[in-house]
Formats: sequence, structure tokens, C-alpha cells
Amino acid sequence: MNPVTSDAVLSVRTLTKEFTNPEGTVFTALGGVDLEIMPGEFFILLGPSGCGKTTLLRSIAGLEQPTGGEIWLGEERIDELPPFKRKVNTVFQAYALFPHLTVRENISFGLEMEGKSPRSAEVQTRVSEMLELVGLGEFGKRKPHQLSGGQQQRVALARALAKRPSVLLLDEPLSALDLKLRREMRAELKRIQVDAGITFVFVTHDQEEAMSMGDRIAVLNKGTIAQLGSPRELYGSPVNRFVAEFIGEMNFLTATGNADGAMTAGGTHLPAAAMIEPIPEGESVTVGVRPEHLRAVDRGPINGRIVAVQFLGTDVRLCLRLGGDEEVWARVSLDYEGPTALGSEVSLAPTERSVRVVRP
Amino acid sequence: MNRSHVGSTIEEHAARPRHISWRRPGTASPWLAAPAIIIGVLFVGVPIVIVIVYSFMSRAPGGTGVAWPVTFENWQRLLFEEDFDGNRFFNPQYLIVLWRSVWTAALTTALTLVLAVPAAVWIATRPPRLRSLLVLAATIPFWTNTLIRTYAWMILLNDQGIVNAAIQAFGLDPLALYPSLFATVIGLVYVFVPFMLLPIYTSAAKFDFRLAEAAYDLGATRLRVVTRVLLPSLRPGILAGCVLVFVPALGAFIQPMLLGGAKVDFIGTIIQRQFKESQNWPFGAAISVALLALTLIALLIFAVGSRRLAAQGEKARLL
Ligand SMILES: Nc1ncnc2c1ncn2[C@@H]1O[C@H](COP(=O)(O)OP(=O)(O)O)[C@@H](O)[C@H]1O
Ligand SMILES: [Mg+2]
Repeated sequence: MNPVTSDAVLSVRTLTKEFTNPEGTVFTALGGVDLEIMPGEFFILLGPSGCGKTTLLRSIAGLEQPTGGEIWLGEERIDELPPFKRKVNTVFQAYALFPHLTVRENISFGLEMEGKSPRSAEVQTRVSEMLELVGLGEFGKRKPHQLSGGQQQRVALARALAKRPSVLLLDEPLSALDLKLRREMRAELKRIQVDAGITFVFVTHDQEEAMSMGDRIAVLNKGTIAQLGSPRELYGSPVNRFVAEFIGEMNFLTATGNADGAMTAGGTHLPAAAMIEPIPEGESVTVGVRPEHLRAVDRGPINGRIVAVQFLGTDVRLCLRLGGDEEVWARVSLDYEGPTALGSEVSLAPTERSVRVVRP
Repeated sequence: MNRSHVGSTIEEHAARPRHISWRRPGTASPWLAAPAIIIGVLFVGVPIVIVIVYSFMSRAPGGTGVAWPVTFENWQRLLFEEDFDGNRFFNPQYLIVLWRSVWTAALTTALTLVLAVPAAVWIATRPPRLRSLLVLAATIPFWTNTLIRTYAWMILLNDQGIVNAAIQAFGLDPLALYPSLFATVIGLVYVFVPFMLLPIYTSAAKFDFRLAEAAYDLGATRLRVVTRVLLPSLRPGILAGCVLVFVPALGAFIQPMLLGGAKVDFIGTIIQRQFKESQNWPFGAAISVALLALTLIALLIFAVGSRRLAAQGEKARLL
């Protein structure tokens, strides 16, 4: 069978994976996934825990046998090859460094498996290059247990990159690090990816991580792709409530269209100018608006009492209770001088074209 | 339980003086270790000293016990022989026995290792409940006395035993399986396999099979995964198993005596003979001390190995 002609370095076609539990019940972890990943791309698989990200990655690596579908690496169909014959490598969530080998030996392991002598100049040069790339020049002689979590993570990266794979798979590689280190590693990973010129497929459940690193993001929900696009596309036009909720924050309200906009179930009027698309008169829909698109004003259409306040350093978040027990969060800038006491009345106005109809 | 009741019990607790039944580890009274130390000194330390002293004494006239004067005769007898004229010859007889014991113990260790590693890994990869059942099964042989289990091999391997009966059923000539060195090794391996299996299983149970996946991912074939990742991770267990098998196998006497026949001597059998049939306690003591020295050398070698492992960050210090 020929590959569908495309420039993709990695193509996943209607991939399915079913697990049969001991009781005999079948669980569909992947329900027909299609992906075309381009050379040099930093591609993100984003989704909540249990949505099938790891299963998809392991299927590409060959550590899991898919139930159906195809995986192509360039011109080669790889889904029936054993893992050691696939030109993809993985950075595992728990790093999985070999504890009995030094950092250098860990990095040269994959090259040795290609039949190269670990003492050869070629291998030694490559190992040194990799150590430099991940900034661990002086740590080559150490054992993994003598390194910090962040350093182990870099070794795992260097070990996988040393084989110069067509595609590097990374399964939540930053999740074991603390927040500060994680932020640093994002920029670092991006730099390494560009320097090494290798396609990355990066799995995460952290939307901030996804948004800050990804060229394109596939949002996975229960084993299928909910939406695929650039971070800007996902943020700007989420296709459904799941994506809207998962990427960034959004207030959801039930509203019915009328002549000059819409009326929420709680009786708040949303002006037509705030709508991205008009709501047909009389039709009841769910609308969403992001907290940063609600401004505090003297007299606006949205009025309520403060029920929670969060100072976040860069801005202030207010939670207002509107009529009919509806609640919305608004992000107001630090120079906001209105009331912040619980119970005080605040008026908000949505910016133009900021309220969207959200499909379930 | 109602709310007011909960409240009152909390107040009662608060009113009582706080009693913390916790102590920093290592600060308990040293006298708690006294019974074990006394038993150790009395029943291990003192007897070893007695055996060493006996090895420098003369044979008692009646054969039981030892007598004066102090002599190096017993130690010389290990290597030399005197004829009736008092000429001294080098006699390798006992060295040969020592050597046979060493290589038989080594062979036993190697065979138990080959049997135990795949079994241990297999058990470690079973579901948890089956795993504990299999580990329990590995200890079943301990429920029966070694002597009885060794007798069982005599019955299985002798000329009319079921092994030979089966061979004859195929129209072949019976094999002289028993008594022989072969039977001895079978008996030793059979008895010592659990001692190899259990420590290796402990290591295998701790093995992170994700490491195997990582190795596959890096291009390792199944064989390479086993030799380069699995076996190195099992080294602490393998080392412990080797000590637990090699050391007692070196001094074993039940299996050589029952399965080896009279011709094939081992350290264990000649020691036993000196104390019983030959009634030469001092010479028996000298061989015992030689065995002790050999054991210490073996332990030292294992200790060096474990120190190397410890240097690699594995918690495997033996000595
Ligand atoms: N070996 C397995 N047997 C049965 N179910 C599995 C197995 N591996 C994963 N699953 C199920 O498949 C789903 C997806 O798992 P996974 O891919 O690990 O999710 P993620 O990485 O997105 O958190 C989960 O619901 C999980 O319980
Ligand atoms: Mg996962």
C-alpha cells in the first residue's frame, strides 16, 4: 500500500487501540486518530489525563500494538515493525535512565545498539556533542542517581537525540520538575529542538506548556482529536466546549437570541456588538466569553456582586454573581481602581466580538 | 456518633499530657542486642576458637577428643605424607578433595544461577497475587528435611529407580547414575536452587521494566535487553544468591555422602569421617579450619564484587 502523498515526516491514519480488560470488557483508548506531522515541527498532543496520549505515543514507538490503522514514517510503514527497527526515539515520563551506566554510557547506549563501538571516536564525539547540547558537559562520568531531576531529564533527552531519530517522542517530560525549572526547560527544549533540527512530538496535559512551545497542537479527548491547529487558532476559535475549557479559561452562560443580541438565563443582556456570530432569535445556546474580554466599566450590560477576588501579580481576577445565580470571572488590569470588597457591585462590558457560541 | 460527643473527646485528649511513643532510630538501649551478641560469642565465636585450638593438638588415645602435645602434624598431613622410615612426601590427596569441593560448589552455583534467573524474572512479571503464590511455592522444599529429599534422589537415580526404569522402557541400557558425582551435583542443585531463586527474585521484583522498554526504544534486540539491562540490574540478587549457594555447597556432606558413593570424597565427607570412623579429631579440626579459610576467601571475593556494585550506587554491600 502506498502512502498518501504528503510531505509529512510522520503520518498516523485512523489509528485505533482497544484494551480488553481481564473481565472481558473492551475499552477504546484511541478511536481513530489521524495526524500529519511536518518535518521540523514542534507538535503537541494535549489532553487531560487518561485521554490516550501515552497510548498514541507508545503505538508510534512500537511499545504498544495498535488494534487498527496505519503509521507511516516518511515513506515507510512502521506499525508492524518492532520498536528497535523504528527510527523514532522516546523520552520517557520517568526518564528510564539505566542506573548501572554512567551518563556517557547511557547516551552511547543507542549508538552501541547500532553496532558502533562505544570507544570509537565517532561515538565519543557524538556523546560529547549531546552533552554540550543539553548543557551537561561536566557530568558525563556521573551515575544517574547522582543527578538532580532536571539533569536526569536532560540526559534522557540527550540519550534519545544521540540516535538522530526522524521523530523524537516526548511523554510529559517536564511533569516531574518543579514549576520554575519547568518554565526554564520550555525555552531550553525549544532551543534544543531548533538546534538539533529534529521533529518533536510532545505530550502534555498542561495547556500553558502546550501553548508556549507548540507550533501546532492536537487536543485529544477520550481517544479522538477534538481540534488541531496553531495555539492562536485553538485559543481564538475553539470548536467546542471541551477545547474552550481546556485551552485558557472561559465563562459559559446559557443565552437565548433576541432582536438586539441575547439574554442569558439569569436575565443579563449581551449586546449584539459583543457577539462573534449572531444568535438566531428565540434560539437557546451556550455562549462563552474569556475573562480577559470582560472590562470593568461604570455602566455596562453585565452587573453583579463580587463573590471572590484573586490577585495574580500581573492582574486581578474578580468573580461576580449575576442574576439567577450565574457567575462570571473577569480579569481586570492592576490599575483597576473599582471596588474589590466582597459583596460590592461591579459593572462589566464585553469587548467587541468576544462572545462566541460554544458547541457542546 | 454525634457532634457534641466528638467535641468532648477532643477536649479530653487535649487535657491529658502529651505522650509521644516515638524514639529516634538508633537510640534504643544497646542491651537489646545483648542476647544475640551473647549467643553469637558463645555458640559461634568460642567453637571456632576451640576448633582452631584442636587443630594444633594430638589425637586422643581413645579417638574421642584431643590430647597433648601441641603439634603441627595435622596441618602437615594436609599436604604431606610420611612413610614408615619417616621420609616426607608431597601428597596431593587432600588438595584434590579441596579442589573437587571448590569446583563442584562453583558448578552448583552456576547451574542454580542458570535455572533461577529465568524463573525469578518470570515470577516477577506475573500478576501480584500469583507472584506471592509462586514465591511461597519456591519455599515448599524447605518444609521437608534435606536428608529425606536427598534419599528421594537415591530412590529416583538408582539402577532400579524410575529414571532407569524409563530408560529401559525405551529398550536402552540403564545408566550408572547413582552413586556418582553427577548424582551429587543433581542433589546439590536441587537443594540450593531456592537459595538462588529468592534473592534474585527480590532484585527482579524491583526491576523497572520501563528500562527494558527504553532499551528496545534505543534499538536493543531482546538478547541485548537481557544482557545489557536486565542482568546488570539483577546483580545484587545474583551476588547474594551466589554467596548463599556457594558457601554451604562448599562444605556440603549430605549429598556427596548419600549420592556420591564412597569413592568420591569432598571436604564435608572427609571432615565427617575424621570425627566418626577415623576417630581423629585434631586432623578433622585442621580440615575444618581449612574449609573455614576457603569460605572466608570466597566471601572476600564476593565482598569485593559487592563493593564494586555499591560504588555504582546499588545498595548491595555484603561486608
Ligand atoms: N495496558 C492497559 N490496559 C488497559 N487499559 C489501559 C492500558 N493502558 C492504558 N489504558 C487505558 O487507556 C486510557 C488512556 O491511557 P493513556 O494513554 O495512558 O492516557 P494519558 O497518557 O493520556 O493519560 C486510560 O483510560 C487507561 O486506563
Ligand atoms: Mg500518560
